[in-house]
Amino acid sequence: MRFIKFFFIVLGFSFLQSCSNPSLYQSKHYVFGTIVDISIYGEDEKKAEDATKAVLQEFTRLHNSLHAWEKSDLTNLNESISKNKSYKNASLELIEIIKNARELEIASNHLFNPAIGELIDYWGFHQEEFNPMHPNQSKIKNLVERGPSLDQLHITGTTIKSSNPHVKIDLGGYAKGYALDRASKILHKHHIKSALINIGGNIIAIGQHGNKPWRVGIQDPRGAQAIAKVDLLDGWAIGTSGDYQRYFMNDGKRYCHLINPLTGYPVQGVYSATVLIEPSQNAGTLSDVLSKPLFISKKEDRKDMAKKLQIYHYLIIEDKHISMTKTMADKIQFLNPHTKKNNQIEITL
Amino acid sequence: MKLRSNFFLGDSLIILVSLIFIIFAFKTFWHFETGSVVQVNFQGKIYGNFSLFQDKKISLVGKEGSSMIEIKDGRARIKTAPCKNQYCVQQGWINFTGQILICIPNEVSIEILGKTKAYDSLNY
Amino acid sequence: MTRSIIKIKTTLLDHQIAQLSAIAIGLSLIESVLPSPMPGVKPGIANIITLYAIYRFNFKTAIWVSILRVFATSLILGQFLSPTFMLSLTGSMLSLLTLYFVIKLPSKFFSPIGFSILSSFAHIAGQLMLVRLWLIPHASIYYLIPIYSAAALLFGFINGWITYRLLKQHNSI
Repeated sequence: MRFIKFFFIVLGFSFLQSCSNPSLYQSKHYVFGTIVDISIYGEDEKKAEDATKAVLQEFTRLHNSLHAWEKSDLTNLNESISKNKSYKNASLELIEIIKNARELEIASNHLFNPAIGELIDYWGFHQEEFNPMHPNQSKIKNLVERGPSLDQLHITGTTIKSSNPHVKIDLGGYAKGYALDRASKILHKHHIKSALINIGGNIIAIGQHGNKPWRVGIQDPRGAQAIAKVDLLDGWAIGTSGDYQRYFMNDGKRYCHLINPLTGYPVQGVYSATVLIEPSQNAGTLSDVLSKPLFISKKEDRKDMAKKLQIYHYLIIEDKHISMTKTMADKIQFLNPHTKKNNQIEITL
Repeated sequence: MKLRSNFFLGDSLIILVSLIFIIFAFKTFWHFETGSVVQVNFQGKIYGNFSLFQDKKISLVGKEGSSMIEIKDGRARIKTAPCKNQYCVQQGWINFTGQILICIPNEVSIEILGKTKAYDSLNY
Repeated sequence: MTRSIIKIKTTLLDHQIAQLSAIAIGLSLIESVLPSPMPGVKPGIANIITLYAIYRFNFKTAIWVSILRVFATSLILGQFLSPTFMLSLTGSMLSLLTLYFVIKLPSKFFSPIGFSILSSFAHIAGQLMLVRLWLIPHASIYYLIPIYSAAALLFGFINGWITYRLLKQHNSI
């Protein structure tokens, strides 16, 4: 029996030995209408916590200033535009964002168009929970013909005026990316050397995870898991537009939140478009914005669009078809061997 | 075969080595680190990875019947299972990396993922 | 029409096997209704019979007893060819294989207690391998290893000790 006693004593001791882990500080929050996931590596907890708090505060501020349908600076601006009034005392930040978004709109041949808030609203995506709706063809035609564009905004000093009252700005495809850039700056200011910031799926990397690069999974658009993984080096950002993010089904047809501004209808047939953006001042923003024109553009125009927008790394997933650039193919790794078997893989240059 | 003595040196050695192995195993395989993602395996395939920071119920209908997985407050559990023994249900909540609940009859298992997962964050 | 009666000639060995198997099956059935803290953590009291068979009779008897027990128990419980059955079979086979080798160790230094512990470890190792390779290939079950090992040591010790007492009572020592 002595053995049994001894055994229990030793077992008890081994339970007490709990290991402490190297410092990966992870936090997950619901802000910005989505999940914000911040990982900070190699800093003491207090420092990481403070930096995270500062980032979250910034996100709350952006939420209050850029939200598309809850009361914000942006909705105030939209209200002025719809009443044909000029909007005074716009913040420098808002003006910068509009100018930058306008450039991107023009560069993308208006496929990325943040002025089509009326259309998005009509499709019912200006709500947290949306219901299937039956689109009215003539109504959509009418909304498209109103031809809203950020190009119709005239900015003088801090005053914004629109020549088209049907401009309704929706920064849905811009704000998350912009927030990433802001977060990256704030973390740098807090002297955080390695972090991974994920806002609703858009991710930017700072430094690396110990002695390995940050590793990111790319969601399988028709599954609940990652389809591939990619190493995100310092300063790189990744963003995906997918028909699985916000959508409703009607008569067996999928209507996603990504609407082609030229037709007024949700894009159909494309599952997802992922872009990988090299380090720059606005890598986060670009990772959010640039996946849209690729997602929306016709298959045959995609290559030219990518070239025009200088997107060197992209991945498009369609039904049984995956296409990507050679540079992208070199960087990503499919997690399931069946992916390559079940899909036709096309590598473009 | 005969038992010849009252003290067996070999037995003692076996017990000692076993104890050392067990202590080593506890130290190596038990990391008390809370995870943030639960991976659900169903019928031999990964059914999906789910964040623990949500309220969610997942119902899986397998050979034996329906298993219900519940995610709440950063933890996960198998809420109901069709099997006789209900082991997985009785084990309650899990939230540490590497913790796993297995229901063999219905081919369901859930595992808390941590640092050992394939990637740090998911682009979606 | 002629009536034919098939008469099977049974040997003494057959009787021994049948008796021991009956006890082992009984023990397994009792164990199957006992509550257990975790799936797979079971005392494995039927192993007492296997070990006893090796000492009292021979290794061949032990193999028969072990196989008969696994098959009969699973048939009775309606688990034949189910994962539970496969686990039980794998565990038992690996445990027998281990016993086959270690039983040759000098009995001056080793008693049923030591062999029982080794056989318990082999049993659980076989089951864990089967789970990892076949039943749930994606899951990492490593964190179960320490618990199962601790259970193997504890129950292996107890079973071995019971076997030891039984053998002593039967004056096999």
